[in-house]
Amino acid sequence: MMQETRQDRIEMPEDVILRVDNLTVSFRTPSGLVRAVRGISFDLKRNETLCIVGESGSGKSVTGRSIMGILAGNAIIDAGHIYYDGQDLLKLKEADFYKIRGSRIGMIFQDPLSSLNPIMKVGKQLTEALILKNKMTKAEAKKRAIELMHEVGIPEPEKRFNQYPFQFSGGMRQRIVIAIALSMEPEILICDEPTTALDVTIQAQILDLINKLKREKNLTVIFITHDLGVVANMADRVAVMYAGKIVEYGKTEEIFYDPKHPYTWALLESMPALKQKGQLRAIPGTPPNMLFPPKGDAFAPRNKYAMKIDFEKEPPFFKVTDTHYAATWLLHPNAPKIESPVKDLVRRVRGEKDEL
Amino acid sequence: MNYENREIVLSLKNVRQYFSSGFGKRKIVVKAVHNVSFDVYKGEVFGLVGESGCGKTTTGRSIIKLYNITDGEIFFNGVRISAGIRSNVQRIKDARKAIKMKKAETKALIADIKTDSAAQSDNDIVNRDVEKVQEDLNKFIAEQEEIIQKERQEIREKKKDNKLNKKLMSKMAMIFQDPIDSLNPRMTVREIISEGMIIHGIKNKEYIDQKVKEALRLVGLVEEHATRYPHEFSGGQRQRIGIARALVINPDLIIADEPISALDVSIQAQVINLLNDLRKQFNLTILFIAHNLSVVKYFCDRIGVMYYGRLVEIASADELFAHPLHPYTKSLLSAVPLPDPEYEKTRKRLYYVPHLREYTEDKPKMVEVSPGHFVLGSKDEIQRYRDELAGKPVPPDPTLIEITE
Repeated sequence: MMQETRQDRIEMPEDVILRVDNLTVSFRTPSGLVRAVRGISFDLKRNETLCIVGESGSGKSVTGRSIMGILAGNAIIDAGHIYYDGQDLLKLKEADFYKIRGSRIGMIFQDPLSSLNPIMKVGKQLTEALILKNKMTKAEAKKRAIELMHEVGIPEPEKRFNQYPFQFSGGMRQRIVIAIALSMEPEILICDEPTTALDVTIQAQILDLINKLKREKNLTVIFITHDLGVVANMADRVAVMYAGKIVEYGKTEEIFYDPKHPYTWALLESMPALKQKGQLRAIPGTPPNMLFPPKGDAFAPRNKYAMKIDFEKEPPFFKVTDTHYAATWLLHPNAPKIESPVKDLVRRVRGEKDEL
Repeated sequence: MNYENREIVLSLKNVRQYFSSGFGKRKIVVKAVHNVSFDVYKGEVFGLVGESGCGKTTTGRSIIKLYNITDGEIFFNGVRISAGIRSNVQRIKDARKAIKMKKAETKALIADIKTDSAAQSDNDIVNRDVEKVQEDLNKFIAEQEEIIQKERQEIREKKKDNKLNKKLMSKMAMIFQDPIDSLNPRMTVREIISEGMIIHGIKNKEYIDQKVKEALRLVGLVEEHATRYPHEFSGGQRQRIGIARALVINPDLIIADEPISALDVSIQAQVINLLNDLRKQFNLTILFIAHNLSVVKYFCDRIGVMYYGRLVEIASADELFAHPLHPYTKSLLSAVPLPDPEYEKTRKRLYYVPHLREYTEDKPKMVEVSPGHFVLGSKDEIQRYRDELAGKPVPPDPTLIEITE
């Protein structure tokens, strides 16, 4: 996965649409440099959904924003490359970047209310990009916008076209945001916690919608979330992030049925299963302060399986299968063999499913 | 669990909470909570679930008297703490209207008798008839006036009960959703935790200090934290401060309004474990408001499901998940994402579309279909739910649409 390249253009395999290579992002703050993302690399495969999971502050949103080129002003990209279509997005000038942003790579955000302009009619927000970028006439743009609204499942689009965001419910607003993102027909859609602000029932509808659109429009999706249930529904591949690093990367089945990193174990364990009684297995402590990134494995202080080396040296990626990698010393040939505690979790969840 | 002999801590009877805005033609009344009744027993955790905007938070806030309820009654430890007067006012209005109508009726009747009397010659009979009608009217007015007086008396009593009973209310505490917004950034942790005690009239400084330290230890913080400010803590620790603030007044009932929704996944389990330990230690009764169903299932003994201001189903947690009856409960359960990819990829979702059915004459009522399991439904629906529980084949619910991916 890791390879040192210093060019602005590279040849990429046919099935890889986006390659993030050793991306490192910090933020200048009054109290010092916050190391948000510390050297992550992954390949995004065409027509797949990659889910990035992690708690807040783990750097998952920063990764998404780096790809879109919309990092905050105090951000510094210390190192790394993001290759799209063979060229390095981080080296692009703003004048060229705007041709990619929105039209080739689209993004939807967590809170649908704050990503829409409250004093602008929904129709205008939908047609804005079509008129400016695609040089459509107003009438054409309106026709296209109503088609889009229909596609994302908004009833009575002609009437809704002339309404303001506050007249929409949370789920409908998120549908509008999705319609705007799709209006330029991007190849890649980055979804930054699109359902966190929504209810379970509405969340299920939005997830179904994204899956449907992905199939119909051959989208490639990067889905950022902290809900493992949502990941199980959406993902083809999963990257688990902790303290600015990817700690485990693999196919969905591998991550859920045979996870290797203690952090993934702990995440899966700490969710109450529907049948569970008795004490929950909580993760002790809190995530590290990224002003002072920890030495060694960042998860070690909260990890009951931590070994001495975890506190001293950062674990490299160990290969489990061709598609499954995990950064933990437990996979080192010399490490003690530890039985994965989440093996019975799979059974636990299976048991529930028969009952429901 | 046997609920027959258990003490009721909190009891809601037909509680309504309406919010109105605007006047005259533009007046809008939002029926946030609509006829909600339930009991919470001593030592249990009662969960309220439902989508946002369904009135679960409003219910919690009405119970702790952050709002004055519109109608219905709330009892806490057997004492009425809030009562709404809307129904009394309505009955007085109805009585006045009835009097007015009766008066008009009588007037018309007398006029009729008098025109008829032109044909008749016997004045005595006419006068007697008029008198009789008049008497009828007076009797009716007296009856209605009595009703009005009774309602007025009730309103006076309710208003008296609505006055803040500090001693009783100190037995009720609340934990809020957002651990950042619910703590005053200019107060130290000690001030935040001790505020409740000071309001309830405790002046002994040493006692307060000791209680604050005790509360901090209980929630897994240390004494030194007392002099710090909220911004120095992480989200999970802040929520612990919120819990300490609720615990320090030794409450009988804690209303926990989505205490873990704003926390990180890895911290949520810590806070749930803490609440669970405290609950056992102090025999607390908790009203747990949440929308994460797997947490509710794990933590609560009984669950009430709310939909658009109404309670649609109440049952024990196991019963609700094993035999959900109301179509909304079914759709809610079908939407819970589980961390199992194979299951997720073959799951069926159910959508609840209430417009597909109309209640015309047969208004839905809350009915106990099996011991401790209440469902809202019309007579036909209740019959169907009963059949479903008995394992008989039932026609599919018309309001549920199944969607398979």
